[in-house]
Amino acid sequence: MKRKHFKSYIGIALIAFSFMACSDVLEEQPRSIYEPGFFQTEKGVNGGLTSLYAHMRYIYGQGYYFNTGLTGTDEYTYAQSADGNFRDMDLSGVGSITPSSSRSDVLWGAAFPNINTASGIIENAEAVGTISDALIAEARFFRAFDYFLLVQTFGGVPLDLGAGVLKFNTNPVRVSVRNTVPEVYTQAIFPDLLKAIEDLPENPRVTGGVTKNVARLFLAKAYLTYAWWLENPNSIPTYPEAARQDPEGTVQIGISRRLMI
Amino acid sequence: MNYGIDFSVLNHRLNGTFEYYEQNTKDLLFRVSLPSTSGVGSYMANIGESQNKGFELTLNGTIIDNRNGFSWDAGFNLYANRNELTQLASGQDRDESNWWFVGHPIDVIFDYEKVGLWQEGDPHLDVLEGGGGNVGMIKVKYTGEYDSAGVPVRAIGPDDRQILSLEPKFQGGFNTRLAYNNWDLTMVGVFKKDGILISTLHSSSGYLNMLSGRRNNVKVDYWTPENTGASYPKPGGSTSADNPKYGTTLGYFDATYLKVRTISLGYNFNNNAFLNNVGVERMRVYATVQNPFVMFSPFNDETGLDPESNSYGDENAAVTTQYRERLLTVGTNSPATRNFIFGLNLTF
Repeated sequence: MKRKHFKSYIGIALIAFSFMACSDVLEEQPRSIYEPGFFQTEKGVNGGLTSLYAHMRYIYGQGYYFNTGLTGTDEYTYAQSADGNFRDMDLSGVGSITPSSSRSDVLWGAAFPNINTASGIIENAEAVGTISDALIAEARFFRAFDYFLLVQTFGGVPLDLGAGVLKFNTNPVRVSVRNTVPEVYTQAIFPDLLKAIEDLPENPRVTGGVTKNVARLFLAKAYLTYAWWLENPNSIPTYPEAARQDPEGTVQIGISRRLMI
Repeated sequence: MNYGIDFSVLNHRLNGTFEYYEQNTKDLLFRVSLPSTSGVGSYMANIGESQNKGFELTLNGTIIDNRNGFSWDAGFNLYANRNELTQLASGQDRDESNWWFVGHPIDVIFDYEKVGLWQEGDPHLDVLEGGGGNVGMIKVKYTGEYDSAGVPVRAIGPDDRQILSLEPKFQGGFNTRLAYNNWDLTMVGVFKKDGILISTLHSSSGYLNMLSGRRNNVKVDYWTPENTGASYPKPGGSTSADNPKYGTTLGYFDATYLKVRTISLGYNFNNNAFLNNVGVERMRVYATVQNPFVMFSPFNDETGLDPESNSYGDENAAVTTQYRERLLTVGTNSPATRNFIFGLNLTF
C-alpha cells in the first residue's frame, strides 16, 4: 500500500496487487500414521493379518448389526422405544428393510476394507518373500469369508475395487461395477477357500486362528448356499441380473477337488 | 486481485481504507471420500477450486477534537466475504457426504429445512410423512412434484434436503472512546448480520432437546394443542433415533447479533501533588465490564446464550458426526463469561 495525502480535504489512493506463490514441495516423514510402504514389510504384512482378525468385531461386535441377526428371527422382537436400527429387521410387519435404513451398511462398510487388506497381504507377501504360505492362506480365508457374507446379503458385489479383480486397491476411483453372484462365488470365494484349505495348518497358529477345518466348513457352507441360489426354488430375484447357471460346473469340480484333498 | 483505497479527509480527522478483493484458489487439498466398495475410506488430493470475494471497510475518526476538554474518537469496520466452491473432484458438482456443493460456500448445512410445525388440518400430512406423522411435529420443506389433484406424489425423503449457507451478509466491529478532562469511557463491540448459527444444544446431536421425557434438557417452547404457536414440536411425537424427527433443524438459528465486548470507564490522576510526593508519577483507576450485553440476536433472545460459536462441528455434543468438523457450533462448552474488573494502574 502506498499512501498519499493531498493538501486539500480529499485524498486518494492506490491499488495494490499482490501475488503469492510457493514452489517447495513438502517432504513428509509420517510418524503418526502407517504409510503404504510399511505394508510392504514383513512387520506390515503381519500387522495386516492381525487386522483381519480384528475386523470381525467391526461386523459382529457392532450392536446394531449384531441385533439385526436376531431381531429378524423368532427369538427377539423390537421393544417399546426401538428406532429403525432395531425395528427394520422385524418380521411382524413393522420392519422395512431399505438400503438407507437397514443396518446391513455395517457389513457393507466393514467388508471391503478388509477384503482390500487381504488382497494387500496376498500381493505384498510375495514381494516380501519371507511370509509362509500358511499365513497367506489366512488372508485368503478372510477374503473369501467376507465375500461370502457380502454375496449372501447383497447379491453380486464388485470384485474389482479399483486396481483390478481381487487386487489391492491403489487407484482411487469413485465408481464400482458389481459382479454377478456366480462370479463372486467362482472367482473369489471358491478359489480362495480351496487354496486356503491346501495351505492352512491343521492346528491353529494362535488361539482362535483359522485352520484347514475352518476353511473346509466354510467351503461346504458356500457350496450349499451357492447351490441353493442356483436352484432358487422361491424365485427370489437377484442383482445384478444373472443366469442361474454355474459358469463352468464349479460346484462339481470343486467338490471333486475337495474330495481329493 | 486486490483493490484498495486509503483516504484521509477533514484534516486527517477521518481516515479509512476500503478494499475489494477477489481470490481464486486452485488445487485445494481435499479429503476425497471413496465409496465403501473401493476398500479405502478416503484419500487426500489437490482437487478443489474456490473463490473468495468481498470487501473490507475501515473508518477511524475524531468526531470531537478536544473541545473544552471533551473529545470523542470512533472507529468502525465492516466486511463481507462471499465464498464459493467452484470445483470438486472429477467434475462432480455435489459431494453429499462431505457437504460440498459447487456453486455454494464451503460452509453449508445439508439438511432438511424447517418451515414450521404441522398444525391440525394442514393438508397432506399422511402423504408427506408416509403415515407416520403427527400433528405438532416438525414440518420440513417438500421439493417433490404434486399430482393433478395437488397431492404430493411421494413422502418427504433425502431428496428434500436443502443446501443452507451459513455465510453472514456482513460482519464488523466498532470502538469508541469518549474523554472528558481526566475521565475516559471506551466501548468495543462486534456485529454480524444473518447467516446460520448451529446450536448442538438444540439440535438432535446434543441429546439435550429430545422432547421425549422428563430429564435435564434445554427449556423450549413446545407445541401442545393449546400452544400451537410454539416453535418446538410436540413432545412424544414422531421420532428419528431418540430425537424428534427432523430434530436437527431445531438447532439452526438466525446468527445475527450485536455484542458489546467491553465497556471501560477510567479516571486518570495526572500531576497530583499528593501522589507525586509519595513517588507516584501517574495513577489510573478504572472499571471494566466484559461481555455486558448482546443485542439483536434471536438466539440470545430465545435462549439467553451467547451467540458466538464455541465449538467445532465434531466437538462438545453427544453425537459428533452430525456436522462436518469444519463448521462452527454452539455446543456444551464453557460460555463466554461476563466479567467485572476494577483496576488501579500506578506508574512510579
